[in-house]
Amino acid sequence: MLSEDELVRYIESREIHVAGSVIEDAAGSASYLVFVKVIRDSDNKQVPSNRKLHLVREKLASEGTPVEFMLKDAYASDVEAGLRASLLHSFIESIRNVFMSVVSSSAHVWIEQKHQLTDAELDEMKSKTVRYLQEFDLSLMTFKTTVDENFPTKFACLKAVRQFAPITVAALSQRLELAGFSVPSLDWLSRRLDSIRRSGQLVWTDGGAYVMSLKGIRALGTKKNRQSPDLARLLALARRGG
Amino acid sequence: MEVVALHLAEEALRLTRQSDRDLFGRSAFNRFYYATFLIVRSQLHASIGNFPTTHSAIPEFLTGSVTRELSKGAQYAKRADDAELSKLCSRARTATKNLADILRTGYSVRVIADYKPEILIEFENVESFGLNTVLISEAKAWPHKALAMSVTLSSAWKQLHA
Repeated sequence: MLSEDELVRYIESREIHVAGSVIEDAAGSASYLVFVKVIRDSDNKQVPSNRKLHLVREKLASEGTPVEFMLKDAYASDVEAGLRASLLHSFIESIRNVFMSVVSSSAHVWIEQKHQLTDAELDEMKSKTVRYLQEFDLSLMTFKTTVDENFPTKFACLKAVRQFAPITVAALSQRLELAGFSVPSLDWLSRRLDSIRRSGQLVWTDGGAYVMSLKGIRALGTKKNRQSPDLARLLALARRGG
Repeated sequence: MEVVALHLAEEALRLTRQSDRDLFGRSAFNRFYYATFLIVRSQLHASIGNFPTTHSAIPEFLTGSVTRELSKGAQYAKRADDAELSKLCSRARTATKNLADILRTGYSVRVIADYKPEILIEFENVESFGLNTVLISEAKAWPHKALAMSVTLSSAWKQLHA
């Protein structure tokens, strides 16, 4: 295993700039924790690249010196701090914090809200964010609040129908709520199921219940382990004596 | 825990004796890390099976099996024509990487704060200080950022596994 000084020399010789001191992990795993300064090239790509860091990490590990790299991206931190200051200044009554993550030249932004934001407020924040990011040649990939996105997606609805079919809208709503989802209303769920039915993945029976179509079952696929949807279906049938 | 961390950070800036400032400053980093760790654990431990209990194992777990599972989830979502879930999985992957980075950085700074007294707190100005190039302002954001990222990850996880 290399000493701390030898390790710094090795890493710097690969044109990777170490920030601060190299630390030996205290958890007894005989590895080093290394802070690395990263910058952005003219295409907004990270330098050194993750691939380069991975290769150096692998090489060091194979030679008996495991390391963990912690990246210090001052540029991304500055852009994030600027965006935070800009949005907080404009929407101090509505938002508590702003977080940003940059992947290549795309930005993902999360807004911590103080109260439920209206669509108009969100649109205004979003357009301000887009304008701000343009100054740094960054495009806005996602813009979301940090509240739990808890409505059941199409996939979650299909999984539940598969397990409990034939199932009415009201019964499905209960099942989804038991699984921890929020269902805004039966009408909302009916519309969602009807849209899935029109895409051919569900069938509506005469009795007013939904069942899966072959297309739907194929789309969901299966698993050959304890998470198998077929096993879940069998257990659900057994529980209701079906 | 975060309240304690904030108090320690304020004290580090208020005090005048160098050794006291250093002790309060490094303890502030320590508490911000633990506040972050506890938030992540409370958000994810119950929902994600086999969630590790050791501090150093969590980032690798996140970037390894959790990220793989989200990638698989994105494929399932695509097969089911569920664009909404596909986007959520993509956001959750980004959030998971961010979370792992926060925990790695926080853990490393915590190790320095607790076991490397020879690496001193550096006072930038009257409002800021850092430890091994990590500023206290960055540490202050860890708990909030970790909560935001954990919520995104647990939302995607629930859609895939509920």
